[in-house]
Amino acid sequence: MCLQSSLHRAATSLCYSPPVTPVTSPAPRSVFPSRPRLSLTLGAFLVGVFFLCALFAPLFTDWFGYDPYEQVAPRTITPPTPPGRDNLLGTDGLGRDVLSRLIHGARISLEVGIVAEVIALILGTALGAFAGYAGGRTDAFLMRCTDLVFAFPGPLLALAIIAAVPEPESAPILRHLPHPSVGIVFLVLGCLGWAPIARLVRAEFLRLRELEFAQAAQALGASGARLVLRHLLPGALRPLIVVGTLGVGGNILMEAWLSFLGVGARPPLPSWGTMVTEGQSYFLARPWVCIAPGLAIVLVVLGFNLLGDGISDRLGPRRGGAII
Amino acid sequence: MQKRSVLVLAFLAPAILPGLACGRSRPPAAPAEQVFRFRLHEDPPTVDPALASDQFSEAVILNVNRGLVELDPQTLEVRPAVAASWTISPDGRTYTFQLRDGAVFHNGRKVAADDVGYSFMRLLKQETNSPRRFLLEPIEGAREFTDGKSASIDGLLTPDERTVVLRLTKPFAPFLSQLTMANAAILPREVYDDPQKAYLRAPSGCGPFRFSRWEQANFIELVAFDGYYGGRPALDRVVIRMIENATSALQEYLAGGLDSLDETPEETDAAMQARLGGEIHRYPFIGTGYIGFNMALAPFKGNAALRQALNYAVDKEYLWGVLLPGNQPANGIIPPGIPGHDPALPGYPHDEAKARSLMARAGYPAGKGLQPIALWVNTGEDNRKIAEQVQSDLKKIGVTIIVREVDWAAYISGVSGTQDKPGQAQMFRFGWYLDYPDADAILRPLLHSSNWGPAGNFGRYRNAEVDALIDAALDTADAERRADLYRRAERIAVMEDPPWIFLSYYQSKTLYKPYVKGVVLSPLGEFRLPLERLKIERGAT
Repeated sequence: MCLQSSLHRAATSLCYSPPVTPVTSPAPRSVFPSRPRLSLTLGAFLVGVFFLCALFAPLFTDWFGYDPYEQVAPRTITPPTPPGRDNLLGTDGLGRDVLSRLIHGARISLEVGIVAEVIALILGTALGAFAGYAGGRTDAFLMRCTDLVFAFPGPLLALAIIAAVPEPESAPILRHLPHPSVGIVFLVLGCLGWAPIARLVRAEFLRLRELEFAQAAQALGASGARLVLRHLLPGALRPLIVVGTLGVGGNILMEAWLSFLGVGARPPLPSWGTMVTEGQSYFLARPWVCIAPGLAIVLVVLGFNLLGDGISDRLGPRRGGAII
Repeated sequence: MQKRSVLVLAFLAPAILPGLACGRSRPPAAPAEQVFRFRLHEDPPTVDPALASDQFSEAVILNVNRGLVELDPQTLEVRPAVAASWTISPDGRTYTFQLRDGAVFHNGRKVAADDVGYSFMRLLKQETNSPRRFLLEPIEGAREFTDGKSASIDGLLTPDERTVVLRLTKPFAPFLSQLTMANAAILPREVYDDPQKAYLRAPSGCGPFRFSRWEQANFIELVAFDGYYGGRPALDRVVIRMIENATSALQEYLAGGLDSLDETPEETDAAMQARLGGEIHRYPFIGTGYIGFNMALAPFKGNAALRQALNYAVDKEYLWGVLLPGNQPANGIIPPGIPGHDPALPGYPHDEAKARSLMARAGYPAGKGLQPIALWVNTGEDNRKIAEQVQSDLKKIGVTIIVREVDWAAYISGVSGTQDKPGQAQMFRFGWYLDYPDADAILRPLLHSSNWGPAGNFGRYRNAEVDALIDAALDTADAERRADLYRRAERIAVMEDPPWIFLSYYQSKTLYKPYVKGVVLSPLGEFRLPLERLKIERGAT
């Protein structure tokens, strides 16, 4: 019943089953009936704030003179020193300014979140498109590959792979990155994150391939590449944007988790996960060392989730928006 | 543990509840089980006495096993253990031990002179691959036996069931002290001849406690041995719990899951200090903390100026005075309290300018041309803090440090390497606790070229003058002259050709619950606490 062409979509939208069902379910909307854009605005705001932090982190250091690596606490008092006028969020266990580490940490978090997601999107889209377009044995083979990836518990696999490269500083590709220990994290997260995206793209392609416009393009003699790139891929963009945005949040959380366990970013890099680990020994007496980065993780992940939700609402067929 | 006690409670509930209901007329309680629970950071790498070379392993072994002699944890004097008495010949070469009548292995068999022979041969055997073979090498014929040139050890005689005679190649002052070490434990042949090596999981010996259970990464349980020659210990059980995280361990201690703890709350935590004040014990501890250089690898190989530069760059006064208060900044190798300690040694006070000029002399002006250096530490919050502080200090003179944090077993193998191949670690944080109170116990294992490699000289330090002075001290009977030789060796090793960044002389800080009685605050450290002397007295409550 859902084989309508895009021309008829507006008229028959009620019978159209959206491609990304989980995020477009009507339930959340009934909670905020009059504020459909709340999540989008709030998400965009949170993400925007962290983006600005990441972007202007070096300027922040230049203007205010706080280096995330410099031990600014007085050399006579055992750090962490409490928040005060000089250090708005206090200093950490080595006397470094927590706020400037937090701001520089946003760079690492967003870098990992976004780069890993881009890698996953490129891999997943390419493989999913290939599987969905080619069908048959290729499809079956590629889908078994995704099954294989799904069969492993992702976080543990990531942990195992990263642990297997004990010295990213001297590993072939990673060596050239500014922070090899962060590089391996986004490479691994990217390489493990492609499977759900591949499935999604394949499902979209299977659907779109049968629609009239695709068949018409084929009948007019469009080449395979043209059909995929000009006709099918744009059709699959909508769910990809939503999944990609949500994925960034997931990656940030994962990076924090890995760093918390001590396998992600190496000291003295101000990764939020590492900061939480370092702060936990002061949790009772000097809670800010631990709570500040923890809160940052919560807020940025929340931001990306709200943004993803909001975008999916905006792009949902019932809103009437379209980006094709 | 936790789970089991919950289960027991569930079973007992129907029996106890009616009792509670009838109020105060409770039957007199059976004497509570005496259990002492302490914490290790991680599983000990081994419980085989021949293979042990770290304090976690020794914490278990010294309670399960006994050697001929042992060290008094308080006075640090050598006293009888399996041997009831001994005599030393006037030329200092022949030691005759009379074994105790009452010494029994955990399997019930009496300890005989043959067992001493077996255990010593096992330690020396090539196949055992013990890192502590050197302890018995002073015995005549020991090297020939290890090399396979002889089937027996010439200097090891057992004239009868109860007598062991050890003849040394030459007088060796600290020999008796060396026999107190965990590695020289007397082992039952029937357990340790097992080709399946079951003893690696279930060791046996003649010590005060029997090894009962080992749940990896969780706990080790020891139970009192009724046949112990010194009398059955007052404790019924000892539970050694592996808790890596210091905060979790402290919470566990507060909640009553541990009776002692080797890591005290942060000095900054005033509330906790007030709450636990009476339970925090501080006492000197004969050990030295340092960051070793791997002198078989670039860039430290043959570059003493670089090693001196790094020493000047690290601010030890800040590290121990402010950041991690407690330890004493070290100016050298031999800790205070040990004959040979030199308070007049200048050491390396923090001096960035000097460090910079030495960097230039080392061929790396402002760090130019120097690749990032890997500094290995074993997991632990304090270790990470030390590593990051050193990293930050060295950054100022242009040295980039990459901190590698790994668990203890991986750390040891990465740091010690093998006999032929140096470890991967270019720098490593290490601490050395003296096994017996003699400067030889730190200079020889760590710096003498005969212990090159996994035997203890992990940094592969070789300095002919230092070697000669350590050797000369061994042959010297006069205590004052001996101490002077050690001072001279130390001065060369510290000021001219430093093998380490000299960090600290240790202090122990341990928490004990007030109901733990019989605690000995030993300069040998909290893990050498003689558990057979402990008692739990919970009082009237």
